[in-house]
Amino acid sequence: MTMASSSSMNRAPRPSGLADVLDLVLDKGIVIDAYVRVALVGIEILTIDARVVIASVDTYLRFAEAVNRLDLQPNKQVAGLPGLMEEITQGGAQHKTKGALSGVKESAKEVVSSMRGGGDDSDESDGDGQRREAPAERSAPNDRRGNRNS
Amino acid sequence: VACYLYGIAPGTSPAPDLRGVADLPVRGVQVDALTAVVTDLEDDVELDDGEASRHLDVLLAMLQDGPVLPAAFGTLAPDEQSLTGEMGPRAPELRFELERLRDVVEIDVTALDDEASAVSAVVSTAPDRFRPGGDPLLLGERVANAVMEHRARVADDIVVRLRKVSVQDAARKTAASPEEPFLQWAFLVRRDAVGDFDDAVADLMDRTPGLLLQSVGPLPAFSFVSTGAVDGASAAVQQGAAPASGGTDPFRSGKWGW
Repeated sequence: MTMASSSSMNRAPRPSGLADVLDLVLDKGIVIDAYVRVALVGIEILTIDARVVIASVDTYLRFAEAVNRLDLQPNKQVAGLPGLMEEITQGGAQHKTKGALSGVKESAKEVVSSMRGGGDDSDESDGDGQRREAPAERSAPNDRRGNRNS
Repeated sequence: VACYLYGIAPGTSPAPDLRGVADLPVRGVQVDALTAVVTDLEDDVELDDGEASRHLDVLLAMLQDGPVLPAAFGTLAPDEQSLTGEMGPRAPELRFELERLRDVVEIDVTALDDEASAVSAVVSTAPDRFRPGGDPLLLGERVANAVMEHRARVADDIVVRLRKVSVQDAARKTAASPEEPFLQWAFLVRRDAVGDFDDAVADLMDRTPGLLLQSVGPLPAFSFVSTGAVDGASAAVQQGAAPASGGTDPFRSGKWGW
């Protein structure tokens, strides 16, 4: 039962990136009571979340710039002193944003490394960047003990 | 020996001839006119995102032969007896689900646009609202919100159109910011209508300048299978993490107390 398609379009047979694969297989699918979900760390998931959280300032500035570009053609007089000032403040704001961004990245990294360290619960309180799919234990079931099901 | 579960197929389907997680072979376990495709795990195995790919590979191979109920990545039974013991009583329900998926596959669609044309479309509708000057952050926020609304309308159009060539659909993710694809939607498509679906996608892109639709499939119907004991699933994921706060016991739902 193969599925041939007549159209030669850009449908991919499977998700391209590992993050997209995880996105597909991690949270969904049938659940059977006897089964334990093996814990794993989704590094991509953490970094993606961190990026989304801090994106807004950057985004707003970019949209404002896009509007400025649109308006350049109809009224060129905008490029006077006010326009110049605007550019300067924007530059400053962007700089700050970048600083904030790398800060978040670092803390995400810390969370990941403390998770990978495994064992201790020290990162219990600073779960900002964490989602529930990212538990602290990476290896497959350490708790799989034969005597539990005898 | 622990049983790592990929998914369940109807009848006595052969297990795909490929390597699964930890580069180990996969095999079929027959239960009551169902085949569970599993890998035996002697030792603890680290499951990273590469193993997630193998999980998907096995499911895609199974899908070539017919319907499959995909198990979530990381699903592990303590041994084969507990697997068959759980599947037996649920066999009618599982067979019903497989029958429902007999002739359909999932196709996931992601929509992006060319930001410049989105901004231009939004600004042209109300130029006075988006006059440059003042605080660029406030202007940017107004534009961003308007762009999100514009995209929501485009997204509606896409879903309405693709519903005509699918049997069911479900949101996969909602965009929380303009940085994310503005539509992430799953469609359940008849196998013999995949070509029509592709045509509809291509047609939408032709009709809408700046619109990019990416589709992925055919996939196992991840977005359309009931996850059953949802508490159990999310709780189990917490296993090994910091103790759950707020008094919820992450171990309460498992039969073996884990």
